[in-house]
Formats: sequence, structure tokens, C-alpha cells
Amino acid sequence: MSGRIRPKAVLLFALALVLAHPAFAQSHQRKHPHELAPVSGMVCIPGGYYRPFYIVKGIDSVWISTYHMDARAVTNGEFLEFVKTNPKWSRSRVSPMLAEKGYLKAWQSDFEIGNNALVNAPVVNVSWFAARAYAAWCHKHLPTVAQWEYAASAPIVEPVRATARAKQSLILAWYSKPMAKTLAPAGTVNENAFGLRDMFGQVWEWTDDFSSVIVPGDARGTSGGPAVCGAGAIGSIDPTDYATFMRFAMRSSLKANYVVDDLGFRCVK
Amino acid sequence: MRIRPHLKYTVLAALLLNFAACSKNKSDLSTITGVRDAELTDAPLVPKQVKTDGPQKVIVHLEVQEVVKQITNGTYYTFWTFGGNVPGKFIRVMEGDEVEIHLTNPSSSKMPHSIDLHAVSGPGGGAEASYTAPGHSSVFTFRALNPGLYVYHCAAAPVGLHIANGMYGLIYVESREHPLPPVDHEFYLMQGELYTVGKYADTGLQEFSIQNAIDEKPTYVVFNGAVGSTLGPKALNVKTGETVRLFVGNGGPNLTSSFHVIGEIFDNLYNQGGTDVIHNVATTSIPPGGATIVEFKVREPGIYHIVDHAIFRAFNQGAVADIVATGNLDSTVYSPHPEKGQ
Amino acid sequence: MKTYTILICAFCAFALSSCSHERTGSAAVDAPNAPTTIARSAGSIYDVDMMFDDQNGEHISWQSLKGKVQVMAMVFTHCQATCPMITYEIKHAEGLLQESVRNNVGFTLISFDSKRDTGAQLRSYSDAVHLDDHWQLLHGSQEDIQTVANLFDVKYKELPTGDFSHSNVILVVDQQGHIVFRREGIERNPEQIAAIIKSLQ
Repeated sequence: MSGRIRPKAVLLFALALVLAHPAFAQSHQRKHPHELAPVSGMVCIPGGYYRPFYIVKGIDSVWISTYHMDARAVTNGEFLEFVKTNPKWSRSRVSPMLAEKGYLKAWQSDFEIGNNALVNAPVVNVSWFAARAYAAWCHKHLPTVAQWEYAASAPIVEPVRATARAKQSLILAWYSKPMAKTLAPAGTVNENAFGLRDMFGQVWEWTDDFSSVIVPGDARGTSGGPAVCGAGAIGSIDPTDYATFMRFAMRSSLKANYVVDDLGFRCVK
Repeated sequence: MRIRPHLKYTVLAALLLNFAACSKNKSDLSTITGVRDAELTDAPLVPKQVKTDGPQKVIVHLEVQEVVKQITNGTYYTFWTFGGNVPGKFIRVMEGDEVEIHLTNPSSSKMPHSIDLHAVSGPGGGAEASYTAPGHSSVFTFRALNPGLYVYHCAAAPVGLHIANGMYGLIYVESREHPLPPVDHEFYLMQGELYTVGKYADTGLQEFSIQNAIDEKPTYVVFNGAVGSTLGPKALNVKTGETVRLFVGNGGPNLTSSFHVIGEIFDNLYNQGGTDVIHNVATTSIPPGGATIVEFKVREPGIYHIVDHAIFRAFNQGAVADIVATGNLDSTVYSPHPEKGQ
Repeated sequence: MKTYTILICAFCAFALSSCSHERTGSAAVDAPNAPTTIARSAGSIYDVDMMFDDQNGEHISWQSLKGKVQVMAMVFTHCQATCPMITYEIKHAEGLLQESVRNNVGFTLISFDSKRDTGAQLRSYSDAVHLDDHWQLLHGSQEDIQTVANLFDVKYKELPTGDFSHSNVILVVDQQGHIVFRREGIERNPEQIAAIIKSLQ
């Protein structure tokens, strides 16, 4: 069986090769005269078509315009600056409607992280409301699900070049390991062909429209849930892509004021 | 405002329909007479039989635990469990009970989880109401309407992975009219498969193999979550002349079990885990997501191997558990005659 | 004509649901099944700054809804499925209230549809289904719609047709903005909503 060549795998592999090619970014730049000016700490993600993971009747693929994305997840140190400037987002003052108990729980106090190892690690235990407020403060946004997934679709090139298959296996291996006691500094794990780091292997990340993920209520991934009006997802584009299933399952389990030990975020512009 | 009188009649009619339809069913079971916490057990133990006069509210607390456990000597796997072990906690309630399930997913989990109990009459078997992010918990109630033995499992996407990682268990709904008769021993066994990238008995932490799962080619087929979970010092001990009841489930995710106890005949078999009892069966099929109850009397001392009679699974993939019977030989039932052999 | 359709919808749905109560039994009419919560939320929905426009063209702040008990839901006026049922159920609940109570209650619908549900469209919808001046129908930016949906824990997604997939949620919010009641799914139980409102007077 293992010798059977799957057309989908071949396509993915071909796509991976194209994306991994150093000329890829430049050729895109030529195609898109509206290339965005460089932004510090951000990576330019050239526009392209994204095929949503969950198939909704009438949507085949969506055009994603060129955008910038933070090269790595937002760190505790960066988030502290935001909290200092916006004390209503400090731990003791935040509205429980906007961030539940446990918000920034690893910090020592409202305006102190208290542990040097955490300063450059991805900030976690932040709610969607808080992440969005941070993004707005930086004149940025949270990525949409489509932007996030599109950016994540590039193959991993560092520390090892991984084909689509190997990448999935790498992601699955992370997902299936119990959570790390301490997170590595942000930006040190798994760089992909776009130059984005930590998309996998560190933390889950908030997306702006996570609540549009109408995975069926019981999340088995086949049909629309009974509480949902109108067309739900009728299936996924790749039922063997368990890593992506897990991300969508995670997104659909969240509420906007939730904070989770391994859920952080990054911004786009 | 003009429409209100119409609506009144509409509502009235619908309500009447409601009552007419519902009052016919199990009216004697409609009143809750008390509250109790469910006794929950890890395999191979089974909670004690509960007998209450009327339906009660039964509180069940289940905590998901993502834990590294041993499959066989030196071989480890990250199991996702209901309560820390595979299979999950055995839940025992009575017909008519209102079961309140509290599902906790601790903050140390990476995944959202849920529970779909096959004993539930309602969409998703509770999966939707119990879909829980890490660090959170959920509560839902259901009425145990149908007596029988049922599998429960996690139904979070991708559901096959959650089951393959060990998220399954059994719930028994005891009939009020025909509660199970007393026996000397009750045990809890569940068969399940493990799909790893590494080969059988490769040491170290094993990674899940999607391809093997899709191809339905397990590396391990085991009872109660590990090779040898119920062998040697952990075998099920009984005495000759005693009666044994096994509550057996199959978590799957893929294979149907040809469940058999070598050297025993099931005197009573609750077909498919339901209330129909048939007699004198040696091997029975248990599909993934299915369960059965078997009863037999152990008459002779010795070791009885519990197997999936798709026999390579038993001897090459781990699907063996043992009952060890001590006591006197009854030569009228079974007697070896080595001296007569040649 | 429209109300008639809604009536039929409501009746069919009632009939369809006729045995769904069996699961919880008569002893458990208010069983705490997950989609319904009655505990008062910590924090207020007004802890966010937003601006909306209503069906009368008024530009209003989100906080201006404070001070009254509010029955709230998210709908879009082109919805052919569940939104009419939601509107109708709230309207029915309103009808169950005494005049004196009704005057202290706001009924607020927030539209998912920032493109088509303009003030004028909301006005004509409000007229078509005979909503009185206790009702406010709001439209705003996509960003604020998303914020409201997240405050209410409503899932929604725009479809290529311009319609929306969405979960069906009705809330009762107290004078300070605490969510005291949240029900997900279509249950058609206006009596329950009216009872909650009365308990907050």
C-alpha cells in the first residue's frame, strides 16, 4: 500500500517545492505591484488563493490579499508594555466578561512578569478580547482563520526541511505530547518558507474570526450542528489532515473570554 | 397584537400534543426521588449494583487526563483518558435515573474533549453539550431511558484519533424490572487498538500513525489499554464453583472483536449488551462502539484466556487477558488422561 | 402574510419538538442542560465601547442600552429560517408582560448583516413585523458585530450568498449588563423569557 502514489500528495509536494523555492517570494513581488512596505518584526505574506479546510457550498477558494504577519508570537514582555499603557487590561482590573479567571496567571502581579524566562516566551492565558485590544493598540489586527491557515500552509524549512507529510507528522507529534512546563522563547521553533516561526510546536494561536468556525457542535467534522441555522460545513478538503482538524476543533471549543495555558497569538497588518 | 389569540390556540394545541405524547412514556419513572454521586471504577472493577425505589439524580464527575502510559515493557504512548486510565471510568446507573455529567478538561490538556454516551437519547449523545476547551468544564444531564450496556467515547475532532488514544469507557443502565441477578464476581474489560508508527514492542514513546489507522492495521490490539493489563499478577482471580459476569466493551476504533473465553461457554449472554438473554454461546461479536455482558460458572481450576478469537490479535498483538481459577478439580466435568495418551 | 408564515413555522416547530421534553422528564422542566444558563455573568456586556445605528437613524452608544433590562438577540432581516422565530418569540414574551413592566424593558436585535441591514432596511423590517418602540434594531461595523457575537457566544459565518450561518441565541441582560439568561437553540418558550424579565423588576 505504501507504494501507491496519491495524486493529492504529489500535488502537495509540488506545491511545497514551489513555495520553498527562493525565487517564490520575488516572483510574487513582481506579480503584485502593490507590495507592502516592510514592517519591522513582520513578514510579508504574498497574496494567493486559500482553499478553506471545511467545504462550504459555493466557496471553492478565497483570494487572500498580500499582508504582513508577525514573524513570531507576541511575547510576555511585549504584552506587558501594552498592559502598562492600558491598565484596564491589567489582571486585577480586566472585566471578567472580557477575560476569565486565570488571565495572565503566570505573571507575578499586574505589571510584573516576575520570571525572566517568561519575558521572551509567547504570552499565553490571554483572551480573544485582550489579544484584539493588543492588536488594535499596535495598529494591527488578529489574523483571520484564512490568513492564519494560508500562512501556515508553507512548508517548514528550519531546523529541518519538511515535506507536507513530514510536517503533518511533526505537528501531530507536538499535539500529542503533554504540554511543556516552560515554553521556549518565541521565534525559536520551526521556521516556514514564508519566514514565520512558531506557527507549530509552541502554542495555539487566536484568530480574529475563530467564532466563524462552525464545526458541527460535536465536532466530528462531517455536518452542520443542530444549533446552527443555514449551511454548515459539508466536509473537509482532506479527511486525513488530522493536524488541521485539531486546530479547527480547538478554535471551535473556545469562547472569547477564555484563557488557556497554551493559547497565545500574533498579529497581522 | 392581532395575532395573539391565534397563537394562544397554537400554543395550547402544541402543549396538549406534548403532554399526550409524553405522559404515555414511563410515567412511573418521571419523579426524581433523590440524589447520589455515582461510584466510578477503573477496570477491571465494576461499581456495586445500586437499587433505589425510584429514579434518582446521579452526579458523575469525569476528568480528562492526557497521560503517558506503558503499552508493554519499555513502550510508551500518550493516552487521552477519561479519568487517567484506559478504559475510562465505569459508570453504573438505574433505568430512569437523571444522569448529570460533569466533564472537566484540565488546563494541562492540549486538546478540547467531549463525551458521547451511547446511553443518551439526544443529538450527539451529549457530545455537543460537553465539548470542552482545555482548562474548562461542562455539565449536561440526560435521562437513562433504555436499560443496557453502552460504550461512551470522546467525540471531538478528529474523533478517530481521540478514540484510538484511549478515550472510551462503559456505562451500564440497570433495568428496574429485571436487575441483574447476583453473581460472585463482576469484571470490566474493554478491547481497543493502538496505531503507532513504530512496530510492535519498539521501545520509547510511540507516535500515532494516521496511515495505519486509516488502513485499519493496528500495531496493538489490547484489553484494558495495555499488553498484559490483565495477565500474571493482574489476572482476574476466582474460585471454582463461582459465577463470573464480564461487562465487555469494544472501543475500537476499527476492529470487531470475536470475543471468546478459552475453555468456557457463556451460560448467559446479554445479546449486544441489551436485555435479550441468550444461552450457551462460546464466541460473540462485539463491534467497535458496542458491548456485551457474559455470565458463566467456572467449574475447573486453571487459567482461562480471554481473547479476541481473530487469533493473531491475541497472540501477536496483545489481545489476551486471563482468569485464574483456584479450587478442586471436578473430574465429572473435565479430566485429562495423560497416561492414556501415546 | 409574514406573521402568518411565522405562526406556521412556530406551530410546526412546536409539533416537531413535542417529545423532546421526554429526555429530561416532567420533573426537570428547568433542567440545566448546557445551552441554557441562568447564573448571572461576572462582568458586564457594556464593558466594551462600541457605536451602532438604529432603525430610526440614531447613532447610539452600546452603553446607552444600560439601565434597562434588555432582551437581546442577533439576527439578519433576510433570514428565511430561524431569525423570524427568534424575533417572534421575543415579541411573544413582550406580549406576556404588563404595561408597567414592559416600559422598563428594551428589546434589542443586533444584525449580523452590516451590508444589507441598513437603518432603512431595519425600519421596514420592524414595520413589517409590527415591532413597537420598545425595540431597537442595530447595525454597525463588522468589527463591532463580531464583538457582540463574542460577548453573546454566538457563532456566525457569512456565506457566498450574503446570508449567514449562525447559532440561535436569546439573552436577557440585567440593568447593569450582566447576562442573567442565555438560551441556545430554538425552543419557543416565551413564558420562560417573560418570567426571567419579571424576576429582574
